[in-house]
Amino acid sequence: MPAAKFKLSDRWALLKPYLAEHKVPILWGWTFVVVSTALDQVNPWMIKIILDSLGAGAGKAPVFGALGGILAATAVSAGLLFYQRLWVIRASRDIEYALRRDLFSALMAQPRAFFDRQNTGDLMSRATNDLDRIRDMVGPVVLHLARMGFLLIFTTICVAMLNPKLLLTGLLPALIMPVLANFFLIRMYTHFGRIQKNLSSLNGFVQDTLTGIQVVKGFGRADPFERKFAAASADLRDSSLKIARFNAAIWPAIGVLGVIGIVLSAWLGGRMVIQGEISLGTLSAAILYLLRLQFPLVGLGWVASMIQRGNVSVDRLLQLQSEFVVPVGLSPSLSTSSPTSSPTSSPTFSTLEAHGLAFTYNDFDKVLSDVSFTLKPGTSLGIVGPTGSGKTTLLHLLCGLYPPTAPDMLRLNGVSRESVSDEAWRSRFSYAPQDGFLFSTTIRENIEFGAANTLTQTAGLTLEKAAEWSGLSRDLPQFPNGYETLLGEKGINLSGGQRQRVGLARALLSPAPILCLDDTLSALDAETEEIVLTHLRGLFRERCLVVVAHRYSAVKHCDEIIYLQDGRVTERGSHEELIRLGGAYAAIWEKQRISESLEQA
Amino acid sequence: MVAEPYLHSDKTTSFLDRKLWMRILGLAREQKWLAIGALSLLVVAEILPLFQPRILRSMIDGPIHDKNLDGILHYLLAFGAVALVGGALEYVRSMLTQRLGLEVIHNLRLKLFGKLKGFHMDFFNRTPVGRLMTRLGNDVDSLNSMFTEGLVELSGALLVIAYAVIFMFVLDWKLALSSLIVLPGMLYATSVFRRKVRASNVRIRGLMAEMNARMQESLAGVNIVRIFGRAPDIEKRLDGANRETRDAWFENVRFYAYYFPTLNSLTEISLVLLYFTGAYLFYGHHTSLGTLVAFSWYTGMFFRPLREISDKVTALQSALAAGERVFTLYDTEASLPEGPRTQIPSPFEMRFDNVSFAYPGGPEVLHKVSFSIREGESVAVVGATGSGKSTLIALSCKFYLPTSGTVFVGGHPVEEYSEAALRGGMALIPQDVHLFSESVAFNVALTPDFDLHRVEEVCRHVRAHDFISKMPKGYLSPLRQRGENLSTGQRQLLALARALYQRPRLLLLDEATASVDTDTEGLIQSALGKVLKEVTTIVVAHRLSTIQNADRILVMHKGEIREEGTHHSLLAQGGIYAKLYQLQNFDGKA
Repeated sequence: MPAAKFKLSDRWALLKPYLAEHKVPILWGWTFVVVSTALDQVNPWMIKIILDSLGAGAGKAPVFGALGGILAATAVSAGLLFYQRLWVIRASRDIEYALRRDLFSALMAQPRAFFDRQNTGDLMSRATNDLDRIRDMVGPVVLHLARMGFLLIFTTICVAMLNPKLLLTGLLPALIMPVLANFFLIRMYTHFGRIQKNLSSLNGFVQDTLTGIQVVKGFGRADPFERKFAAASADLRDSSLKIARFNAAIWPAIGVLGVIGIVLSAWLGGRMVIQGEISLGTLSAAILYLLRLQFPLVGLGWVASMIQRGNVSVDRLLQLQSEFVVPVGLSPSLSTSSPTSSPTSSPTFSTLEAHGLAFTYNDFDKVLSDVSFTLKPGTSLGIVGPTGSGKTTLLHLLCGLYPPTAPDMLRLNGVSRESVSDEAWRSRFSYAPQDGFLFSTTIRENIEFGAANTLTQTAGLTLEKAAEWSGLSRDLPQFPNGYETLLGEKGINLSGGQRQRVGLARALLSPAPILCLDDTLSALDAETEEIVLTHLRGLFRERCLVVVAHRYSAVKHCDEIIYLQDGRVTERGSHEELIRLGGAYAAIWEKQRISESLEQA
Repeated sequence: MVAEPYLHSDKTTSFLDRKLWMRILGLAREQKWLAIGALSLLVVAEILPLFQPRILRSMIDGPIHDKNLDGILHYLLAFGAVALVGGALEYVRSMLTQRLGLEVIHNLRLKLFGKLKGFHMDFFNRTPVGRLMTRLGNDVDSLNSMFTEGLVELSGALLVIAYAVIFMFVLDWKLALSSLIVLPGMLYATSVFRRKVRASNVRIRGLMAEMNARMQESLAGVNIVRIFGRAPDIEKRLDGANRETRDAWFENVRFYAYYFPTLNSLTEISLVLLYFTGAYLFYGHHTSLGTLVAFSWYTGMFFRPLREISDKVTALQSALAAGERVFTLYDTEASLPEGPRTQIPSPFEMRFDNVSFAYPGGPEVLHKVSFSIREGESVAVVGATGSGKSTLIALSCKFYLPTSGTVFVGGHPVEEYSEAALRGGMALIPQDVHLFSESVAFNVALTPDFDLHRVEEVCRHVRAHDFISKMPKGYLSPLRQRGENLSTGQRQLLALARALYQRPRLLLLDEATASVDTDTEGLIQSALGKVLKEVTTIVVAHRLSTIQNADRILVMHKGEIREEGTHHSLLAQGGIYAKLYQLQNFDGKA
């Protein structure tokens, strides 16, 4: 993916609304930075007074006065430091929070087609690493930058007040700094981009390898994969080493420049002290001022690299934003402050029609073409056909995950798909997937995930009923804490069949009028399947059932069955009609009947 | 009974875990010269700046005091020289340190990958990919900061402090004492701060893991969220975790906001104490102005690294925990025994001898299975779903070892072979074709050093050449793991080409054609027909059209071989196979 170049104005446009939201603490924080940096200048000046009074043999009063001055400045400065840190860093944490919230909402608003092109790991790294870097940039980094900037200004003023000539020698080398910084910055930006890219490809390769580990091991090809991994790892190491050179150089370089300034000042100042032009206190104070300048300037390297990292990350967000299919801006003004569920009062359903429905993922390979049917409450549709014939795609299309290739191919209650919002469309559907995707929370929460659309459960189906009808209740004794058992990394792992049954229970709990089963009954034995189907038929007198199945017993009772072949309907009718037709459906039905009797043998 | 999950460790890491420390340090064994170089440069480089205040002091008390103009110059030259040498050493040290860290984690990544590749399938089937990714990614990276920020820079900071104390006491012990009097206060503040921050960090880590997990699965399950119209709730759920994390950080920020100004104030107070004492000493002619100036410089040198230590220790602590997790993976014993044999003897022969098998924690799925296959033979395994066919394949290529009985290859038990030798001589075509996000050629050859000529040859052989040559970059076109850029049938053909590429001694087909449409099946069948004549094959299939020509057919039923023979002998037997054959006739009619 070629990294698009983004201008400073693009980056600013992304961050501006977030910064604007925290205008007050940030501005106050900066004000405090100004004041506390000014107070930091008090100490060397006081030391000058002390040294001069000691040198001149003056009384103790000015010495104690100066010490009192240091204490006072320190106390006030401590208070200011506390608040500037608290406000600015907290603001940056809040900006990180808001960016993550808005990024996530924007992602959730993207259609399925967007996710086909992205991988989850990459999206995650934008929502974690990149946001971390942006947060560091708008928080500690700008704070440090401000402190450095003002320190530079105030120190310049103080040294100039001590003696303008000393200022010239002390800061002369520092003038090279911007040139130096610029040199480093440009190079570091490219290198950070490269590191980021190498890191992504290393992670991508590992993920790919681990997902396909059966192939890698099955072919005894672990060694070449290891070689490729080693190469990717070495690339990452080498690109990191490139930046190591800059990291290693920038600190000592700035340090040496600072020392050159001190040496020049000490040389000039020393002569002036000897010639009686300035006091020893003045020279010492000047050196202490210049020393104080040294460390913030060394910090410049850090600031520079952090800003570069931040910029790379902002660009990665901008890049992602440019790939959004639904153009949601990543800014608080565009997304609602707190997401609330839309009040979909029990969704109406009278007809769902498909007219010559067609679909393609990539513009040249048609996955579906010319599929037509009508669904009414109380009816059921069975969809069968070989794998790859487009069954699951058809379900996804019905559920509104993808748009059909042309308008008006789908109509709900006589209204075309395009004039209904995605949300309203989907509220008519409930879906039990093939793979049974579940969240790592309790079984109960997973099942209730389906019900929360509306509070009134029109179906009158309780969690227990849904579990019973999906055949899940029989698995219950195996779960250590019943419905409260945690799933996923922190809990137990379910078998494929159990996952399907939880997915089915979840779908059953939904009050949506159209239930789509994507080969969900495949893990049930014939007897249980029959029981579940009987229940479903009772439940679906008012509603509508769409069943995709490999095992035809699951669709045998459907009012209409369509047989898909390469995305087209090649046979259609009721089970009896299809058997009479004696086509592909009838052949496979017979085959399944025999194999079933065989299994019972 | 449920089998124990892998990589499970509730152990909390202790900062004083000596064994863990030694292991982590041991990772740098191969880079020991880098480490020694970096540390010895550190010892020299960190002491140089300490001479600067001394030089300044001598200059103030010497030529400046004596009003000797010419005397200044060589003090300044010394001053500049110290800085230049110090800067150069610092540059080299930093390079060495960063290289050390990067080399160590590069090697560690390789070691871990090498370890992982030997793990058996049971491990991979029961360990989430995400967890392994974290071990190889974030955790290994944390160990990098252990070596750079942690060890070297922490040692640097400690060294500077030690040097500063020595230089101060050598110069004037009374002044040294009075400026260091605030030290106990600082240490106390630091220990309170560390305790609070540590607890807060633990909390934050937990919250962040939770938040990231929620985000990850919401993105992975975006379809389900969509269809059930639950995006707002999912967003709310994430918002809760996101908010909690932020609030935990707010608290953390407060600790830092208290800590640093406190340290600052104490540093300034030490300066006040220094000058208070200094003024009295000066009046009593016990000290010079130069000494006072030098001391103002030294206090800065002493207190600055002190503030950094806390952050470094935190980094070190999380690196230790990461190290613990990495070593847990490293210590996991999940490999099947590797044997010394690197060659499968010719002619090829494989024999199952009374093999029984149960998946870990599961019931027995194969019961005393015995059969054999010789060079050039093709054996078909048929049976209903769940009859144990796929398990038979898994045992054939040593994905698992039998719970009892033995699998012999070339007359020797499979345990005696190295994995690479055994599997390198076999090719498995599983039901679902996994494609890697690499080029077509890589996917066929499964190695980056593919022989393009051979790739094309096998692709032509299985008739995959046509569609591949139509792709924009031909054999070098990138494939996408999730992308829909290939049809099921095309994927199957690639899998077949992949199997042929390595000239397998034994080809294992696991229902490879179970899930394709009839057109593609025809295509694959004809490709397969050729292959079956050439290679020793075990083929598992529902469809009998594939296997009618097999030399022998095994009929599996409920984990046992119930019937064995040729197509004709089995038909004559009139048992399970005969029934299955009836089924195939219906296929023929379709």
